[in-house]
Amino acid sequence: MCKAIAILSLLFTLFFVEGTTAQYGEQYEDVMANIGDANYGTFDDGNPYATVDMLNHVRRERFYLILPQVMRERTVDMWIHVIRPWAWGGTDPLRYEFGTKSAVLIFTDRGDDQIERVVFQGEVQDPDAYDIVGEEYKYLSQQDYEFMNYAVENPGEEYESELDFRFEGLHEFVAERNPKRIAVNYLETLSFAEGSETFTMALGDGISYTDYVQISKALGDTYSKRMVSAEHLILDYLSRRVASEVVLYGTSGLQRGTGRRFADIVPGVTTLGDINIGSVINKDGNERRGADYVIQRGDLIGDWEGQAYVLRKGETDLPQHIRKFWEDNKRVRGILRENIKVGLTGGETLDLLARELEEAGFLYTDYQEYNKYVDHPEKTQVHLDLHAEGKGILAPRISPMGPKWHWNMKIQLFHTFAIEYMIYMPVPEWARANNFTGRQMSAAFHDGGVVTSRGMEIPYPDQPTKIQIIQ
Amino acid sequence: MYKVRNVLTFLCMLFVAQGLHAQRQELEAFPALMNLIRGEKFDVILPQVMEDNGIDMWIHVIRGEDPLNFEFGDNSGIYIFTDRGEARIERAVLGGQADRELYDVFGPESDLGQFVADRDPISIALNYGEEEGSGFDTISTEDRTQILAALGDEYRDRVVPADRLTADFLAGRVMSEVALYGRLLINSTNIIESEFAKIVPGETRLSDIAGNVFVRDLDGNEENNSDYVVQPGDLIGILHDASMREFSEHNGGIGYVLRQGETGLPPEIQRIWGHALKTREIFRRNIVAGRTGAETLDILINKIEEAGYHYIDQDRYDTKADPEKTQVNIDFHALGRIVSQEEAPRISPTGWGRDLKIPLYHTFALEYMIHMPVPEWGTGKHLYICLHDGAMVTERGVEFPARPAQEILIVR
Repeated sequence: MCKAIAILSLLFTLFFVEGTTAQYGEQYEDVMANIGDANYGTFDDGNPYATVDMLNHVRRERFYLILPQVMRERTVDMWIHVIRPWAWGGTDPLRYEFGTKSAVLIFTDRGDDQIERVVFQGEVQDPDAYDIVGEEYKYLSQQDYEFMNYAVENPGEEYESELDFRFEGLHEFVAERNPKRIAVNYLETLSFAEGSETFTMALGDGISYTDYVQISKALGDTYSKRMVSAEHLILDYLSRRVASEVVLYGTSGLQRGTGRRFADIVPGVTTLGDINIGSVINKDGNERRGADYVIQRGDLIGDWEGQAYVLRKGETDLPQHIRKFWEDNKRVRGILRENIKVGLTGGETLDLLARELEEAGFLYTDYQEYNKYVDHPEKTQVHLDLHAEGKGILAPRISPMGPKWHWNMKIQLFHTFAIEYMIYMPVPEWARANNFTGRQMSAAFHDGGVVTSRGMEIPYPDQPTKIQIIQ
Repeated sequence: MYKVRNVLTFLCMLFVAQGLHAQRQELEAFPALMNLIRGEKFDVILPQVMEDNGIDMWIHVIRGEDPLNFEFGDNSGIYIFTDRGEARIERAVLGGQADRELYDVFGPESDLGQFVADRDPISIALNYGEEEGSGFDTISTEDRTQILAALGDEYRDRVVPADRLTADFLAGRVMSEVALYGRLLINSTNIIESEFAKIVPGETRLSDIAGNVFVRDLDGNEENNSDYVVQPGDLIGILHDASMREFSEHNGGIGYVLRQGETGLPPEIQRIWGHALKTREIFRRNIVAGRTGAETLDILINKIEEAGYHYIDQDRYDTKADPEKTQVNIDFHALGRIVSQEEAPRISPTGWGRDLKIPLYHTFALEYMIHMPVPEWGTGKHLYICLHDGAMVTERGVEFPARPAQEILIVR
């Protein structure tokens, strides 16, 4: 990740205490403090439009539009998803989608337009999103300790485990629906339980061995043989978006502001401390740091919120190398825009973009730094990490990073993602000024994108993609 | 990536209080967002609508106030868009000033003849209209005469009216507009709910409530923003808008005032809400992009009549219809960009836009009125509600970018 961003992290840490007092967490105060509480989403973080009503609405739209689609594509006619009570949902990837941190949820395709949605056991944030909630069954919820009441009311009847109670009546429920394929949240083929940057999520690997045994026992021979892993179904469900998620993603992006202005800088007077910038690159391509550093003519100033150049005496415009860098950036954006489409996988898209970049004269690099060991070190190098964003940050991912399944997933309608890339451009003038020890101009960009049937679109303003000139 | 997310999180927190405050007001139009929408419309919508309409060159003369001021610019000049075979449509302004980030070519108006000849377009759209009611017949006679003269004999015959092209361009929605549309919907819903919360039965007049507020009696007589005092048993409708510059929408809500002794919605009120949900489902499943509003209306009429409803083409109870059948009136007009609410695809028995095709990502009001007879109350007696929710057409049918009405609110 680029240095500028790391510096900014530190800067904004200063505001962290103030920020948390904003109490956006009150929006989902019942079973979920907020859905981003386990490094999970971004569209609810600090977004005043991510109210309980809106988040419930998104859930319902997903049930209405996405659930039938993914179950039918995977030829699954029943999906049992178990969120284990003692984990309190902390590692389950679907706790927001289903609105619970502890439950047994069953979704059945009964041939209607909609999928039947049942909270078989447990409590949910948004009961109206379901067709049946546990009250219709004998046992409401394990955390309500009803099993204790049951034990009192049924002396002599013993259970091998308290866990049995979660699946009481499951066989009867399933037999009534007689599904051919029952997806359950355990892993079968995926090698990664979680993504490279989501250390807290179990993804498809949600149930324990004990759960598996208990479910199998409750289902009985006939139906337990019909169990299959829900791993791909879960990824499919997570990776698709509805229109209301685009709204939340777009409003979330607007909260971050639209760049900073450097117009007040006076060369020879203003210090880095005055403008809260950690460092600059001087006219010779060398980094200068420290709050007391006084900004000089020829300095290149910036962070991910914007960049500026201080004209040297006699200059009336940007020097050629800086102009080229920003022209290159514009061309890179154009290539992304023209080639990111619904239907290709993340990996296929990365290959396509790398090809297009190289055809346009760039050098695509898998590294997040300038690579001097290449055939054409004079070329501008581009690194891509166009990861998913919004609700879930995992996949599909147009990037050399992450596990393979990130690359293998297809880009879907309304895929929201980070337009994150880095550009490294060697500057011969700087190389000469430093005994050819190598100097490059570089910057990282991190904006938001949405993929529609028309291609890549921009849901909220980018951080500045132009450099400001300081006279 | 991880760090970036954290940085964004911190940044977002800084804006929370400000954002919450902003929800109850006309939203501030960030210049960057407005510029983004303009740029996206040029990049995403313009090539598509020019291709769809078979137009190589679009000439639009602006002399002051114009329906396309937001999209093109406020300054007087000849705005010319040419499909030169590239992904990007060339954007030129002759005789005017415009944003250099958005436009590629500038020159004097006197260059027009040569400019067109250099590009040799086969079909040239000009901002006049031949269809009654389009609202896009904006060029003056003088300008039109001068433009045609400048084009010369060879190109004059290639000129066609731009009214349909203009309507299509305005009706096309980019994702930044969709995000803004969703924000506005959330805002108006919040306002509507807060207005319902103010009502004190027996005291509050309709004129005390913000928005378009109406109550109909059992014979269909309407009180609208009048001094009528809200009474127990009333079914109240409120429509309220939210806007940001040229973007606006209005949403609706329904409330029922409990009668003495009632603790929840009485059966007949529940029944009419059931009809609202049942018909909403029919609409969601039968509106797709690519058909005209008129074609879509015909399909919807068939579907609701198959489901046992009686379609009415006016928002008035039909006393001659089957008294057992609930009646439904439809007016799914566009929402979002203000100018195109009237001059846009419309699934309705009226309006110029009903002959326009519904584009993908069309934003519109799912506005329909239900008149439910209650025969036990007497001949012709009926209940009335108006549903008005912001919707959008996608590849999957109708989606709601923000929460539609979920229930009839109870007013105590």
